[in-house]
Amino acid sequence: MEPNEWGRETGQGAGREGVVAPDSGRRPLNSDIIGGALGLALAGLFWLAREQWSFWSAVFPNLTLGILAALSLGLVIKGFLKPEMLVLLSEGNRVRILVTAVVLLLWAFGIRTLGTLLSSGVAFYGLTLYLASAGQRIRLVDAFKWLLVVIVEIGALYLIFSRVLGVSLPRGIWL
Amino acid sequence: MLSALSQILQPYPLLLAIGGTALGLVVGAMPGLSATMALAVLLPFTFAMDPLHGLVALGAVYMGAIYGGAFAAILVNTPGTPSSIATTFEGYPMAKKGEAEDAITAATVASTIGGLFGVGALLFLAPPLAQFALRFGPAEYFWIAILGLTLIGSLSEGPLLKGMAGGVIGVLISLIGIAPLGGESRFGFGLPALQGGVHLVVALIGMFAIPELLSMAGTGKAALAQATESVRRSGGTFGMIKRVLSMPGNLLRSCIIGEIVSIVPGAGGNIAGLVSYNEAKRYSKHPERYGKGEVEGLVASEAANNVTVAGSMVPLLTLGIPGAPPDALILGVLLMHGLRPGAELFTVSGTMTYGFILSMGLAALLLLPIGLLAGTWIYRAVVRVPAYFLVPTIALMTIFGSFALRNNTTDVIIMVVLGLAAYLLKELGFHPAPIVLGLILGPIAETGFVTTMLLGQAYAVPALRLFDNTLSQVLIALVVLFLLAPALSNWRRSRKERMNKGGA
Repeated sequence: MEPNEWGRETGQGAGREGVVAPDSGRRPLNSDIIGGALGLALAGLFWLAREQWSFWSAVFPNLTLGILAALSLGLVIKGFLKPEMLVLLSEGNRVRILVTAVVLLLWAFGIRTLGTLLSSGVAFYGLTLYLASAGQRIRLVDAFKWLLVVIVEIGALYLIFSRVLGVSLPRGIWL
Repeated sequence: MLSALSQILQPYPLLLAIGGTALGLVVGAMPGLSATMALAVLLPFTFAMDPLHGLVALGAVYMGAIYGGAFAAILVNTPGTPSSIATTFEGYPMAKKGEAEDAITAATVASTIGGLFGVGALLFLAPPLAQFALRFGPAEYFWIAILGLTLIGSLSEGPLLKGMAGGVIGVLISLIGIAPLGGESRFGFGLPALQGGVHLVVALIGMFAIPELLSMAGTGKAALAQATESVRRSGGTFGMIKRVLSMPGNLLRSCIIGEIVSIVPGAGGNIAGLVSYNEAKRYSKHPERYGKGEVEGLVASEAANNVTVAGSMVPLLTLGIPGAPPDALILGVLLMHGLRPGAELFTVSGTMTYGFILSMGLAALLLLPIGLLAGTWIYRAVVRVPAYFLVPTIALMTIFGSFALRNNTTDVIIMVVLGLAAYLLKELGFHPAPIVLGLILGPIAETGFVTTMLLGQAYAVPALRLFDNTLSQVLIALVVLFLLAPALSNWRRSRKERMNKGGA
């Protein structure tokens, strides 16, 4: 694997993105144990969500949950014997990733309450300004130009979906 | 057939075929908008048309939409339609290296060849293929799903154990919603909105698009912008066309796989693409190049998924069995015009039926000029857009697209949540491809398994019903072969290395 612009790769799983800045303080973690534990937790969560189903509805889910638990346990054991060490969130800026994830979640929930146009407008423009501010100083004229682009883009897509494709996009407090 | 050919080569049907192919391409290229939606939008317009003209337009849209899925797969790592899942594996890495135009050219040529192969098979082999499709019962479906799950070995990029666990997580997600046989609501977690289950396309959009968006947001640059200028490794468009044509074995194998998969109702272009990709990798002289932008894998996926457009018409036109939702719409149009599937469709209404089939061939040919022009234009537009616009633009399209599937805001939330989960899992070494494979094959495996067990109640051990016919046994043999093949090839490779070291 080629080293990236920061210099070196770390961890056994560096064949993927196990690359880290030398002084970033990001340590490789045992991905097998974490993955196995998550698998076991998921199997447990679904196991608890079972209800009084008939045999034919229950047989396949039970089988699947058993297999998932066994594989997850296998991963945990592998984690102790031959771990795959990976640096989590090794690519890029963690804060920007987190903020983008939160905006996407709020956007998804927002279209139900705020409506498609308002939530999309706010989320789209906010995300554009936030991501652009990472690499440059935003001038007022740019911010205004982008606002026009965002309005045109969302409006065009809204019209295509609602008028051409006949999809009734959700309306909240406003369109 | 000649009379049908002369009818579709008139100016009006030709215009319909060109317009339909272009419309299908645009719809297919947008994540979340499926071939079914493109056909559904066009359907009311065909009511006023001559039946043959209506079918020509529908066939062209179907062909264009399945091909159009490759654009999103190559340029933004999101399958535009489920059929192009496997296209992302090589198409996107090619695009990241600056070879997007090569990738689009290869996908276009492969799709054209696949489309023409499917039409040829439909014209000449429809009756025997339909009889073969009838031999697939629940037990065979179960084994087909298990056979599909053996692909995890080659689809997972890390340790096999993680790939397998990912596949089972996919199966588990597919179990949310109404049980196929018992009819009870499962794993609703007290949320009525989950009763409808997780739509495959919603999961696909979320698991492929959202991690890419987060990655772009984190690095602050569009993935394709990393390739500062377009690289044409194969000497331009004609060079790439020659390169694709120089792999006849890969093309033929992928087309045959696509044809076999497509005649089995319920198994669509997504499975055809994945199986063909897997086989291309297995037969490749350079399997280590896969996942890094290997054109062979891209060609295999695109050839196979476009075969399925005409291939799925085999059970539809001969037996009246629609294998996929778009086929059901076409069946509706046939019935509306008084055309009943069966032998009479090819005799009494021969001109119209052959006209429809030939128009799909025409649409496949039209993919070349339309696809290459549109591909170059879309690629150049995508690389010019800065990341701070590309991220929200793709997010907007995925949110609108996932809502449009069932007019349901819950789907949008599921899409984002699954996307965030997929990002986390990817960071932990779980690739999304096995999860998606589990999601696709889970319902097929469950229905096959439970139905077979029900049918096997007369046996002392009902599970024996899974093994008691020849086709099932052939499929089981293939499962065993596919499971052992990677281990065997590893053993051979290490033995060869040992011998080479010993010789040195």
